[in-house]
Parts: sequence; structure tokens; C-alpha cells
Amino acid sequence: MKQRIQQQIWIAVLAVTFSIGVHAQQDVWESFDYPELNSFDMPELEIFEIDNGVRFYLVQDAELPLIDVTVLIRAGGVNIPDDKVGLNSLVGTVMRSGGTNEYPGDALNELLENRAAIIETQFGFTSGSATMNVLSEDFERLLPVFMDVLRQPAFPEPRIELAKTQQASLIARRNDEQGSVANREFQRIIYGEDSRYSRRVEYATLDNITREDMIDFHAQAVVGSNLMVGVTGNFDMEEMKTLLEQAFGDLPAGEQNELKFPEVDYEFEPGIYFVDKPDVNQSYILMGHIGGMRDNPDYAALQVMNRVLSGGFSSRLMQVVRSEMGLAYSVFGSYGSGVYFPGTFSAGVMTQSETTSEAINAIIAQIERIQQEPISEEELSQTKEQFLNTLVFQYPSISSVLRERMSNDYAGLPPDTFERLVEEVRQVTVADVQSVAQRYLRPDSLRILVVGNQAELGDQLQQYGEVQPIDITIPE
Amino acid sequence: MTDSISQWRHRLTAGILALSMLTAISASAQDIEALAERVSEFTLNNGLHFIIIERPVAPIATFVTFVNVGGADEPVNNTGVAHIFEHMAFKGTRTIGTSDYEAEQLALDKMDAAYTAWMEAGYRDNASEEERQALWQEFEHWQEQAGQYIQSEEFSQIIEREGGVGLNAFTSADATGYFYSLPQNKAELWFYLESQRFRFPVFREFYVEKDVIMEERRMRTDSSPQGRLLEEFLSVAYSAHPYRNPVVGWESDIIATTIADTQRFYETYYVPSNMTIAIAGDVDPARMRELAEQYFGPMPAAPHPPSVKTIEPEQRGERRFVIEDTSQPLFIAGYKTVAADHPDAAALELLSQILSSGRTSRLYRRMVQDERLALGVQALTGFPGVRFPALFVTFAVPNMGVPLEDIERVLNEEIEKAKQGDIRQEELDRAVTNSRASVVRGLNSNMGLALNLAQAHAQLGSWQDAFSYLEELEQVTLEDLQRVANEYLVETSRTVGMVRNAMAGGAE
Repeated sequence: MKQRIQQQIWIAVLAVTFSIGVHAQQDVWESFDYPELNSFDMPELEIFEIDNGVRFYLVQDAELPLIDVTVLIRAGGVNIPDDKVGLNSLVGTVMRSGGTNEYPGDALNELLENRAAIIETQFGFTSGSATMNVLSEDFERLLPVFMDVLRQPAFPEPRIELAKTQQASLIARRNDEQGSVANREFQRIIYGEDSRYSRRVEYATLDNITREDMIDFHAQAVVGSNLMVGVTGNFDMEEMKTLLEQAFGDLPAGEQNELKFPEVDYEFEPGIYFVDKPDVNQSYILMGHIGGMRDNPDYAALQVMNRVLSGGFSSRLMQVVRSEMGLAYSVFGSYGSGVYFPGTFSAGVMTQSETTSEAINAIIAQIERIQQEPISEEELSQTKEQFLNTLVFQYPSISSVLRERMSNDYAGLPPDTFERLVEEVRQVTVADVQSVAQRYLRPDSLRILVVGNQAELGDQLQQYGEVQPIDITIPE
Repeated sequence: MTDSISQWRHRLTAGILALSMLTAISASAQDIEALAERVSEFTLNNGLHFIIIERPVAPIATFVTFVNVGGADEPVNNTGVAHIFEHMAFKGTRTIGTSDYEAEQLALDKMDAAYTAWMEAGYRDNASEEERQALWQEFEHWQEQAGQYIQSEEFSQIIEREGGVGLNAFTSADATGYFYSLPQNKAELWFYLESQRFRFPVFREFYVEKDVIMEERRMRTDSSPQGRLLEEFLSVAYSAHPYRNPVVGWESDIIATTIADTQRFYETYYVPSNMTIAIAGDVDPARMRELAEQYFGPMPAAPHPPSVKTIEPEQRGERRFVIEDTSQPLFIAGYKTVAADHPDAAALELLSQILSSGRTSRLYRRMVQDERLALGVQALTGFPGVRFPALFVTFAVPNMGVPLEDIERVLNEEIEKAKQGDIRQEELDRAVTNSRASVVRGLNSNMGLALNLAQAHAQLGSWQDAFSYLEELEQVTLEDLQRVANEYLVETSRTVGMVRNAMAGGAE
């Protein structure tokens, strides 16, 4: 099966370039007679599947003498039971660090680093991956090594212990930096403490994980029906296909992993939450509520709203909270739409302790404003032009085309997801933006989290309700 | 303006290392030759140098302005001024960001004079509270007057509307860089905007922007255990050279710096001969040259900026400090070494890689993997900069319950081994191989190419130096490694800093 992605979007980019005329007299920067944009020849992807279900995505890119392989694996932390949180990341770490019977960890390290070759493995929450990046001339020699790491990791006990020690150190350090405390606790405030989407590795869950768990997880994950293989770089297409079919052909098909995403049971209720961190002089503030799903028909209008609110230096939050009020270096906010489970609407800011409530109120005012007043036509056209003019950056390289296609396929999104979004963004109106702001944002129901210094804060938070302290003591 | 990479020196991360390696090391001869065919350069009559890298992979281009001025060039009372100017370079020009430049500039001048008077009154013993308040009101009055003309964020707006991405800048101890990417057909927009902002900057929203910078300081330094450690570390390690000062500036200096100070700094250092511009992407060199002449040609030539005269005196003994903190322990040690143009820089660079780059490196293998002492460990050279003699640093994040004393002991043992000549040829070869490969991997990024070639030109004299350094690396011998270890990694030039967990008491 061959795939050719449309080229029309570039023409579209040109068409919108000159549509704005805000200033009464024409400014210099609007008078430039830009030449036509050079075209980008979308590369043809070679896509095929073999009998055991492994699906391949290939594209040649001769710029550098390198070959890059990415195996996407349908498995992740979402399917792991509550008492073994962290299993997926341990598997990813030890697959590589422990090596295989033929290439044990230390030998593998030397073999690869002597050739400046890279092999890495990891399992995240919704997917896993194994990657290899090598000089073209080393590819044939190292492909079997890569396959061995992927298929037959040894999971030696000493490397499991090492990985657990490292994880435990990360747990011990998780309250050191303010931002990581804030982001972690905010997830729990939104999704609930027992939610699959906010749970975290603890000493106890780490202790529960055995070598057998890891072997089982790996065995279930690394089967033909769970694998997508992407290859880019400087190679001969027919030779590469043969090599890959040989390498992956005898993998068992297995059963496709079903990633199970539980419903989120959310009630819109406001709240003010506080973590005391006496060693800081700045409050890290996050506020928001549950967000939505990617397949929402309002997705494009929400993206336009996000950009008006916080899409760059000229967005409202940056302009008002940073440039005009000087309250923050970092300020942000967006309505999140998840592919697998609902995202969050969240806005955040870091500001000195003394101006904590001023910054919170300034952000709330901007959320209310985007609901109450229609955005201006100028903002809409500025935002659309920004979006459409940056389309050329969607594919800065040949490999980016391949990566996007694989990621769409993995998530079950249509191959032309991006092109459809472009089309939809074009149609968004001022009224659409106000409508989604009114329907999806709930400034009256914000859950506000402040990680800051109680001694410097005083009673600034009382105005948002009864402050609920959060204990971040790490469970033994 | 600036975002996350605003101050490189505040981060001892792999990112820093990767970047400095790209500058320092080289690709294989074949790849460099291929690249050289796509690189052209020219210098305008006023001294401004351009490097054009043709890379017609996608219809985009990245533009970098690299200015050879950083925290190290700042005068007393004004640490942080290089970074303050960097923020001001996003505030527009005489025509962008204002509705009436003439009126605005008058108000800005009065605002700055009022602020200066208010500030000086604060340092006098005999100024009354009323006097100060009156001066402050005067300041606020003129700030409000000037504010009437502001068209906030217009400069960024133009760029973002036309499809600019990655709009940002950085300031380091050595340099200041400005960059963003555009669709390749809009190069002229960049030429116009970039020439305007460096020829006619206007310091609007100056005092509000200093508040933003104070927040940046709180975020990166005051509220971060690692940020606090690094700031303290440099201020202890250096006694005279300006590498001792934080790039973001000391709090009192950020408060003290005025528009007049910033203007003076700008006039001294933002001159054509001190700036290098690199453009990488799908562009036509001949057209770039035309545009360069048109937009930057009129920039007046000016005297080359003064050099930093202070030389760090020889250290008379080891320096050591401990921060009692609520966070988990951290360890850092640094040894005084050389600047990047010194013949020993290559050997020190390779020594740092042999110690901590990759899973086969000595420190990783022993401290992270085999003895499980540390969550992570890194050795790097050229901290906090490369223009002046810098530090060879070892940084470790101990595992839970591992005493800092054990970390220090093992680090010292490993350095001692290097001094004894324990390193094998195989390790040296591997370090050179990986350096070469990392440069090859960096060749497919417009941003990486433009920044590295500009930096090589500005700091080493030619863009080719970004690659010819490979030859120096290849000439390094085991004897060189042993010699530099013995010459530089000595106790009397060492500074040791630790964060100790106050809760852990004596157990730490």
C-alpha cells in the first residue's frame, strides 16, 4: 500500500498571506512583495504489513549517512494494576540496561558506543518504543542486536535492582522542585487521587514489582500485532524491506493489546488547594478543570480559542499578565483535548508570593473576558494567519511526515487529521470562539492549586474559599 | 523575552553538554566537505559578518543573530544588563510598538530620570520618606504617560502572524543570541525587523519588564535548589573574574539598572563588528546578500567593544561551602582550567567525556551502575563559558541515603586514576568517535547549524572552527589526558559545593 499526502496546503498558505489590513496607512512590513513559497515535495511513504501483523512505514532520506528505526509498541502504564505502578517504566529501562543473553548490558554498551550507535527502549503511559539510530554502514551488523534487545531481553536481577534504586531516588526527590510538585498534585486534584490518570510510583508499588511481572509485561507487549516499525534514512528500499521482513517475520502474531481507558467521573466544583514550600519566594499556580476529547467537533474552534488566550508572545495571557502587568515570566493556559481520555483545561503562572492573588485574578479575568466579549475580527484573523502561515513547519523534514503518519495510525486517527484541522480552522468564526469559550470553560468552577511559601503569602488565598492544605509527605 | 534557554549557565544538563560538544567537535571529513559546499559567507563594509547555509530540505529558514557579549562583559552595579537588553530587544522599535515615537521617547526619558532620582535618594541617608514618595509618584506619572503610546507586543505579533516560529533568545556568560524561523519566502521580513530592532531599539515597558525578569530570577534561581547551588558555586569559585556573577544579575543590580545604563551597554556592544548573523534553510545566498546590504548596510560602523581586562588570580587554596536546605543533597566540584582557544581545551573536553559521557563512561559505570551511589553524574568542561578560563566541573545527584562524603571520595579517586594514567586508548578512541557522530547528527537542524556556525565564527574566528576542532581532538594522546589531569585537576584550584538536607541531620 502506498500513500501520497496532498500538496495543496502550500497553495493555501500563500492565499492567506495578504488578507490582513489593520493599520490605516500601510506599514513597511506589510508592503513586502514576498516571492512564491518554494514547494515541499511530500515524500512517498512505503507502508506495508506482514502476516504476523507487524506494520512497516519506510521513507528514504539521503541527507545524512544515518538510518533511524522506531518501533512503536502498543502497551503502556495505563493497563498496569494499581499496586504495581511503575512496572512499565522499569521494563523499558531494564530491556536496554540489562541487555540480552547474547549481548549482556556492559557488552552491549561497549558494542554500541564503539560505533556511536544508539539503541533505547521505553514504555510510557499509552505507548512504548524501541529506537535505533546508527550509521548506514553499521545497520546490517546492528539490526540483529536491536532485534535481540527488543525480543529477548534478559532482565537480570542486578539491573532490576539498579532501576528500582534509581526510581526510589526519584521518589525521594520529587518534592524538591516546585513545578514538579505543582503538576503532579494538580493531576490528582483534577482526576482524583485514585485515578489511573494521576497515580504515581511509590516505594510500595516499586517493591511489589517482580522480575516475573516484567517478563510477562514484555511478552505480552512485544508481539507482531502490537508493533509498528518506522524506518528513515539513507538506504536502498528493496534491500531494507527484505532485511526487515527477515528480522520481524518470525515474531509471533500474539494478541493485540487493548489499552483500557476508564471513564473520568468529574463534577464541576471549585476549590482552593495549597502546598506549603518554605524554600521558595514565588508561587507556582495552576487552575482549571476537566477538559475534553480530541474527536470533539468543536476541536478546531477550541484551538483558535487556545491561541488567542495563550498561543505565543502576542496572546492575551502573555500580553496582559506578563508584558503589561509584569506579574510573571511564565504564564500559560489552554483547553486540553485528549485522544484517549479527557484532557484538562488549565492555566498557570509563576509569580512572587506577594502578587499571588493578583495573578490568579488577572488570569480569571482573561478567562471570563473570552467568554463575555467576542474576540475582535483582528484577533481572529491574526490567529488564523498565524496558524496557516506556520503550516510549513508541520513538515520540517522527511522523517516528520513519517512520524506524523505513524502517530495518527497508532491513535486511530485518520491519516489526513492535520489537513482536516487546517480546513476546519479556516471556517472558525468569532461567534464560534465565544461559543466554545462559554460552553467549555467554567471560571466559576476552577480548582486552584498554589505551591508557595505560606509565611510570605499571608491570607491571600482565603478569598477563593476554604483553603485545603495538601500533604506531600512521601509515604514510606 | 526569552524562554527556557534564557540562561544556559543555570543548567548542568545534557542539553548544555550537547550544545557545547557540537561547537567543539567535528564531523567526518566527507560530511564537512559536503556541508562546506553549501556554506557561503560575506562581511559588510561596516564589519557585520553573515554566514549562509543552504539546506533546501523544506521551505523554511532559521535566522540567528549572535552577539559576542554576555554576562562577563557587564559593568559593576549592572550585572544582568546583557539579559535585560535581550528582553528589551522584543519591545519594538521607533516604528513598531508605538503610536507616537517622539512623544513616547520624551516620556521615557523623564521616566528614567525620575527613577534614577528615586533610586539615588534611596541610597542616601538624609532623604526623607516624603521625598522618596514624591519621586516615586513622578516616576509613575511618566511611566503612565509613556504607556499611552505602547502597542504592546506588536513586534512579536508581526512575526507570529507571518508564520514565525521558535521566536526566542538567550543570554549566557559569553554571548547573546536571537533567533526564529520563517517560511523561506519571508526572509525580507526578518531582515527588516532584525535590522530595525538592533539599529533603533526603544526601551519601552522597561521597568515592567524588569519585574518580569525578577520573576525569571525567582523561578530559575531563588526557588530552585539546583539554581541556588549553581549561583553560589560560581560566586565562590571566582574571586575577580566576572564569571562569578549570575547571568540574570544580582537582585540589587536588576533593581539598580536604568534605561540609561542599558542604552550605554547597547551602544558599546551592539556594533556590527561584534555581531554575527547566520541563516540556515531553503534560501538563496545571492538574495540574502542583497537584503543584507539593503537593511544592515546603513548600520554605522563603530569601534570594536572593549575587552574584559580582569584576569582571575591564582587560587591559593581549596574553597568549600555547604547550603543547608530542605531539598535532597547535591554535589558539585569545579577546577580552574582554560578558555576554549587554549591548546589544552581539547584534552580536557575528551577527559570529561571519558569520565561521564555514555553508559561506558567511568563515572557512570562506577557511581551510577555498579556501586549505585548516584542517580546521575556528569563531568563537563567550559563552565560557565568558553571565552575565558573556565571550570572543569563534576556534578552528582546522590542516591537516597548515600553520604555526600562518599560521592566526593569516589569522584576524587576517579580523578586520581586519570592522573595516574589509567585511561586506555580504547576509551579515548570511543570518545572521539562519539563526538564525531554527534556532530553528524546535528547537521540536520537549521537551528543547530546556524547557531553553531555563528558561534564558531564569533568566538573562534571562523565557522570552519566548529569542525576543524575535530583534528585537535584526534591528536590528543593518553599522555595529554594524564598531563592535563595533573596540571589542572588539583586541590588548590578546586571549589566544592554541596546542598545538605537540613532534615537529615548528621546522617547526611
